Amino acid sequence: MGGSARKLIVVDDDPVDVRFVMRAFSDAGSPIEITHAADAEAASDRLDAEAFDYILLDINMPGVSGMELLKRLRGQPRTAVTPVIMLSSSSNTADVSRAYENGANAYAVKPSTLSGYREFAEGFTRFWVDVAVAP
Amino acid sequence: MTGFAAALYENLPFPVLIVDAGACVVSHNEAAARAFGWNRDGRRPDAAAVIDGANPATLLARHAAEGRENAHAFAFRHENGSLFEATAHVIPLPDEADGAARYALLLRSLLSGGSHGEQVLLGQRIAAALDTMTEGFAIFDPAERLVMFNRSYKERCAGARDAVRVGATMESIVRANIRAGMYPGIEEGTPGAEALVRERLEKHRDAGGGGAVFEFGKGRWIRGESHVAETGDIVAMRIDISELKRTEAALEEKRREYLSLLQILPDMILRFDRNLTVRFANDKYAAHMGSTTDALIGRYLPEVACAPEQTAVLMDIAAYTRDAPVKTLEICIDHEGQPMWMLWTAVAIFDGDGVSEVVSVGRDITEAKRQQQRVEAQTNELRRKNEALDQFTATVSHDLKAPLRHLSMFAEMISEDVHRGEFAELPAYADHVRKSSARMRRIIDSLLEFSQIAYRIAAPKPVSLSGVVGDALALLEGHVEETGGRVEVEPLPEIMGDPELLKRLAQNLIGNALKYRRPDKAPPSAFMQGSGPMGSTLSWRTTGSASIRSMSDAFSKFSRGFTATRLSIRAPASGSHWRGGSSRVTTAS
Repeated sequence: MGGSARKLIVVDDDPVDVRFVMRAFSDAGSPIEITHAADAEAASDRLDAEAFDYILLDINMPGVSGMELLKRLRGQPRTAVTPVIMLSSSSNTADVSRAYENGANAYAVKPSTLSGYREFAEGFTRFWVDVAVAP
Repeated sequence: MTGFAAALYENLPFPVLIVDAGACVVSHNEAAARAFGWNRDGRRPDAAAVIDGANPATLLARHAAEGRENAHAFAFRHENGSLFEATAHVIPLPDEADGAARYALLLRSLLSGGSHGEQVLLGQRIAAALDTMTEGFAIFDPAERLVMFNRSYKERCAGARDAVRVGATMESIVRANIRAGMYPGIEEGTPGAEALVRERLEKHRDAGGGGAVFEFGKGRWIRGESHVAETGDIVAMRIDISELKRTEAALEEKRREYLSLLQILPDMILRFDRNLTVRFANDKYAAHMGSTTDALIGRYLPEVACAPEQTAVLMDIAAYTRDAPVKTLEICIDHEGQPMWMLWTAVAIFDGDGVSEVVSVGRDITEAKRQQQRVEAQTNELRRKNEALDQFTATVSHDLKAPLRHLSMFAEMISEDVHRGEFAELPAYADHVRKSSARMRRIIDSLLEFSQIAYRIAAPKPVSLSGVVGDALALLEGHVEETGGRVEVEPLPEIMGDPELLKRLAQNLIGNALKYRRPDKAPPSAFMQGSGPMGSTLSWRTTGSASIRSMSDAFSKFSRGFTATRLSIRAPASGSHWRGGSSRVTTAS
């Protein structure tokens, strides 16, 4: 895939987890440009102002939850088909099902190892950047 | 006696005796010989009177004077010394030369003593046949003297049986029975006895009056009937109806038990026919309708129905079918200003013409309904608490996972950088490890504290929420000034709870509103409101940003320390964090 660098916005209230994500993508040599939003309001503001290729979304956040934000995103033309990958510490099947019902494209549980994060970043890049065709 | 007369005399099938004034046999025919047993072994009649009695001469003279067409009862003396009773015409004979009176006795029917032989008379056979009857049978002449009776009639008199003999009057028999104790509770010589005699005689004379039922002997009941024959005789029947009476008594007892049961049942019971006419109503129903059972019977049901608009379906006779004869209906009525729930069950009973009657039972299920509502409320409360617990568990799980994951990750990063020989980031990683450990310790401490609060719950007592919030604000005064926040407290109600826990709740709520705020937003403000006494609503609102985790902790502490009180938190959106919105405390009513 050529052209300009793809843009990913990571919506997560935990800056440490965001740091792990950024380090993993960096280690994986991914060309993705990563932006961080600490909560749903900040993410909405950013997404209104700027187009992103992918959204990496946490569920448990202060104020508006990731699930609620997902529903909002799917209701807006600008982000209706943007790939949204849920990255949450919850492995609850109810959360997983609800995420897909609300329009998530994928769901992953936050890894607890560096290698786990790297595999996630590599897999993300391999599929979403190298293989998947955007509408 | 002429030859013809002699032949007739000898060959008559009826016994004929020629007796003197003292009733001694002067002559007799063959039939009489057979009846009295005189011809056996050449025996002849005794010289004694053949008629038993104190003064047979007077008796014969009187009956002879009454005319030959009448038959009179006599007790005759058999050859073997026994007595048998028979009717006989008394015909005076022309005086003999010696001037002595003579009578011809023409025996017509044997009345008793059938044992004297079937060869005697047709009357004897009839008497024997009557003896086979279980019913008592007797014939009294118009003068109420006993003419004929069967064995059962006599035996029923038990101790007074000897008084039952031909010629005895009805009155003498009744008195003999009184003397023998055949009428329970009646003593001879008492007014009661005299009244009984009068009553029995009246009934005896009241032929065709339907008879009378009376207790005769211990535990035995007799139905006495009187019928008048063409001859003017009174035929008396004595029918033992003891079994019938016992059955009747048993049925009556069952009926009383049934009625008693219907009355003591807590249910209302009503029976009505196809024309909606009330046939039965128990006391419960009558009392509910402010009436009496007697007043309700015969009334048109829609006029005396319980909540007729609601129970109309039960009164729809056409709707009952043999396949579906039962209807149930739950209604709620206003009873003395209170809602009263009733369950009516109606069962139709059918005859050849369709529904013959409907038996309906109404049960007061108000208490059951209240229980059901309480259970539903408890179920909802339990469901709500379970949901809160699930949320709490998910939050704790999430909060515990994060520092644990960070510890693992930074430890791995330290190890990796050391392996690479890169040491620049190590202090930062180590700092993250320390922070993660501290965060985890705080969470665990909070959990321990939370679990111990459950044991602190004592008997709730009235707490002034205004005072509690005032105490909390005093502690937070410096913090409020520092953040530029504003807290308004309107009058709050008094509620039941733990004052210390409630103070901590208020402190947490206000403190979090001040603490968790967005730097780019306006200064936080909190608002608490409550009005009225117990049962009123306390509202809490803030424009600051508060961690729902802290709220959850506070809520849990609050609700545990606040027995019989509900508290719900409504955040503007679901999630583990809360910003703005309002919390709501509803005291139990």
